[in-house]
Amino acid sequence: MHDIRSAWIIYKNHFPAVYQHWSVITSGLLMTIFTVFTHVEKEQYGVFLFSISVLDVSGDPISALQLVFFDYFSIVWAVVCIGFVPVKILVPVVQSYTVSNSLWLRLAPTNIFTLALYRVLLVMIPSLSFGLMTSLWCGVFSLVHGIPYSMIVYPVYSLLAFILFTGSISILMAGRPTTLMEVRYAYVFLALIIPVLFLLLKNKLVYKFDGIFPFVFPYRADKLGFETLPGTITAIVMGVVLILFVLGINYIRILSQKNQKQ
Amino acid sequence: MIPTQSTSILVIKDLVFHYPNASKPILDKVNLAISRGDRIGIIGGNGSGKSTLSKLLLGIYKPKSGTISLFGKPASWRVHYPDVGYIGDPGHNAQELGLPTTYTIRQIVDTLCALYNTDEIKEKSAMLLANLGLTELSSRRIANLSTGERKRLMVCLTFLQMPDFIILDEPFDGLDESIIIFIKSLLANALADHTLTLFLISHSKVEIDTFTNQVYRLQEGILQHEPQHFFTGELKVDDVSTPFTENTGQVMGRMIKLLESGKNNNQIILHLTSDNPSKDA
Repeated sequence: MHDIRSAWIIYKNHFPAVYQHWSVITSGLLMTIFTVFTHVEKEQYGVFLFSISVLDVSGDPISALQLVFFDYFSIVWAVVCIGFVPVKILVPVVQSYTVSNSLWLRLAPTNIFTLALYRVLLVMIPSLSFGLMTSLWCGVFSLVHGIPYSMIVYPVYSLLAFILFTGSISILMAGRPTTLMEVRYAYVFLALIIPVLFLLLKNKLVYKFDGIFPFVFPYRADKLGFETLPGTITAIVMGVVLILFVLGINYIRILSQKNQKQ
Repeated sequence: MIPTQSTSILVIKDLVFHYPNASKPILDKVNLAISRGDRIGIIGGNGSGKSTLSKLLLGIYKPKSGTISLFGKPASWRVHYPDVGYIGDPGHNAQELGLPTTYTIRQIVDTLCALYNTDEIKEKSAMLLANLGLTELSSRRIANLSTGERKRLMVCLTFLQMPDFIILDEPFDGLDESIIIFIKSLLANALADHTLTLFLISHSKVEIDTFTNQVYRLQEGILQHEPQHFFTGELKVDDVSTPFTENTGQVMGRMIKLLESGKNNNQIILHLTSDNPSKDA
């Protein structure tokens, strides 16, 4: 418990603001409010204020709304994954291993398990925060437009999966000793693209694992919603397993240091 | 008496270290044992390996051979040392100064206070920030501080925690005179109040003589004991004379105590003879 408290103190004193997370949900709510269907031509619908798509939905407005929400979510997903995740999660994670970022904590009442927990918080808190806020957005969209919540909630899991998976990869890789910042930034890049590369890998190499192969995108063109959920859950599980692996190793190190002292 | 491992804070045995692509080791078979309360001064020319030695103590570098034991644990990057303070430049890049650049001064000090979670440390932090001229800068990010300001913050963090063992690597370089005086008074008070163990790296014989009681010289990778610069003298107060043989710090401490005891209305006569007048002291 003491280690969790210390990790939380280190986290909250450096990352007190979550307004970036709120800006995402605010954008989503604005998109929700301004979403109005206008009958453009027979069996086609357009979206008011947005010219992102004209959808052929065979006259089914619910399916149209589902696709529109997925398109919106893809925009938010791209903004979060390109604009937020590298800068606010991956870079702080890899920097936390540098001499400058960890020496002062090594000379304070902490241990390597505290720092491992702190890195986990760097990944877990934004992923849960984004998960919560995008769930709320789904709820509001569902209420405003009368579409079942279960039809549109799936991309929330994909965002959660992406942040957890890419964050856990960065924690694992950045633990390798290096003095070069270039190498550390290469870790950020790799952590960002490895989940994306998994999709290419799946398509090219492992067709037989299609259902459960780690998958982190909001949706796939060939499949919709919960059809791709097993792959998303695999990505979340992999992220959690990697995090538990890193925590476990550091906990064993702490125990061995205590035994060494005794 | 040579300290045994059980009574020592730091034990270095047959330490060898060389940088990649270097033709010869910068530290070669270095041995040193430091007990609680020892005040070790390390001198040596530029590039003699003084700062490298301090980085090895902190586990930033790994020895090629030999062992370093700090508080009974092998010195390693994976080991944390809440009982150790460090003021110096531990970075791989010049002027890195070992502080997280994305933090503000306030964030880093508040984090440390919250980790200890005592009223005493909160009060102490306000005093240290004010006296080190950091209060006005507290909302500034460390990346935007000058080298001197960052060094002042390191001093603040070290004395906030008041560890048992402080490693000082050129601690006064690049600081203003008034700040140096304040830091020296902090150090003098800490030495008077606690059984503080010091490992001071400096080019200044005055600093070494003031704050240490054992001096070692690093030269050609070898650590050798260096005879210290002592003064022989006589202190006369109210017609009572006391002879002594002490280093600069002890003489200064004796004078400060006399002045603080209220005897400064009387005549104080100090006769000093240096044991080594050829050296700069």
